[in-house]
Amino acid sequence: MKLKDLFYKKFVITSEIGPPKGWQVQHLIEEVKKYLKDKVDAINVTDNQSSVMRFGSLGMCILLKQNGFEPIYQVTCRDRNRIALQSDILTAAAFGIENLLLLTGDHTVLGDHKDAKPVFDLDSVSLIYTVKRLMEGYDLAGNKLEGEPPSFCIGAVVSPEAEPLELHLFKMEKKILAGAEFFQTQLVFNPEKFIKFIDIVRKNFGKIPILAGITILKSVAMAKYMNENVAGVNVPEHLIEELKRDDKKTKSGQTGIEISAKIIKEIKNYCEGIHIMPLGWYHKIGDLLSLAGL
Amino acid sequence: MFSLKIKRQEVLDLINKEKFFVFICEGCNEVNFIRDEILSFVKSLPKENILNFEVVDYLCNPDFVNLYLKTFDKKIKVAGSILVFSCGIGVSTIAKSIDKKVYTGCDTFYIPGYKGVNVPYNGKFDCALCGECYLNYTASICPITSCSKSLLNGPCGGVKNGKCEVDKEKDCGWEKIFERLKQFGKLGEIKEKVFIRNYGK
Repeated sequence: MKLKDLFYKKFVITSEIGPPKGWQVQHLIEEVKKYLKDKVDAINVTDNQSSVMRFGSLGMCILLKQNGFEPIYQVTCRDRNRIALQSDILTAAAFGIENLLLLTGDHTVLGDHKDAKPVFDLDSVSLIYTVKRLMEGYDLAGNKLEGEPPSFCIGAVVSPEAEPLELHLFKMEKKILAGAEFFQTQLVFNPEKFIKFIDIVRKNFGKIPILAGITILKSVAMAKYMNENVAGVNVPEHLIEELKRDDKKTKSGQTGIEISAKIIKEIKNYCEGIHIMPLGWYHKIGDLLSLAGL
Repeated sequence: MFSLKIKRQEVLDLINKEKFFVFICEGCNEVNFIRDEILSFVKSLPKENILNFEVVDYLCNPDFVNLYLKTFDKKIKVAGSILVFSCGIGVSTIAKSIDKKVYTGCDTFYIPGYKGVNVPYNGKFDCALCGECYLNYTASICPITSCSKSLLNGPCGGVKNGKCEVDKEKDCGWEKIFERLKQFGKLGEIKEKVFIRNYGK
């Protein structure tokens, strides 16, 4: 099932999992079965997130598919050249993977193999263009593919709260022109900024489905860390104060759930869905969704 | 353009194990040469291991190298091994021309820049000699050298407060390109273009 067939029919909910550093992934499948089944429409699998070497995104997507879930295959340009990227994406098609999330990827120096060669043969825009070409029946070099071309729904990312916003809108437009069919956003903590972003997008780019990025704040330290280190993320002071107010409640996850549920309620009429990044807290997703009325 | 850096520890670890004849290349207009630094380093090494050193030029040229090897033949035979301070080409050329152990005393760095630009290495040259100039599309700011990922189609999501995710001191190249394109009203020209680098060049 392609995400584009769901948008405008229902409020789409996706989440994501980060594979472990090891090959025994059954416990993750069990967690997904326990906490995400029937709660989300699709599950994104991160691709060596933060440049930390892990179990592969493609393998995990195949396992999800085999277990009855709808995977979104995240593909970054950091670790593979254009030959490997196209090859993996064709492989994904054979396993029934229909949704892709195409990104440039973090630089290798941010991860745990700092000496690795950062590839970036393609970038998010040219990778989107490449998949578009594959879907037309040609590889990037212009050679005809054998048999039927693959068919995917192409997702991309954007940071609605990054400054200056117009810089990111410029890139967003390039992605749309290259063939992006939906966007997953960086974490949203300021609904008014997000709504302003949506207004600009609608005015300039028309109808393009947007999944708002949502997480559950676990602690004051997490909020501060993200403000310092994560591009495009701004947890406002009043939310940090809220996390500080009741230490026990924050530790239990309840404060974070309440904050996120409130954000979801404020933005849900402006976007086509949400993408929850649980950062390991899969067991809290159910509570968040019910508190948000989804 | 190249620049050299002395492999200090590696040379020090090596030096007591053998006796050496040392070649120091004079450099050329392709190399940002650190002649004084090399000379003072070589002079600081133990004399019982460094039997002779000669400053010569164009160690990359096999004819010159053969001439040098012939000229210093006796001294090289006495020493037994050769230590070379030159770019990697010079070291390889000597190794191809003589059946002796040849060691390098330097790391060779590629510096994007122009022939004969003789400035100290600071990694801030603005041309990667990529063979496919993008400056006409990027307001004359090179995306290959100014972006840590050498992205051709806009900034990545890692830009924060105008700085690069790789180094908080480094400006985001694409933010600068964007601002300058905007200033000249040229953003529209690259919106629909998808640039893909040609590594075949």
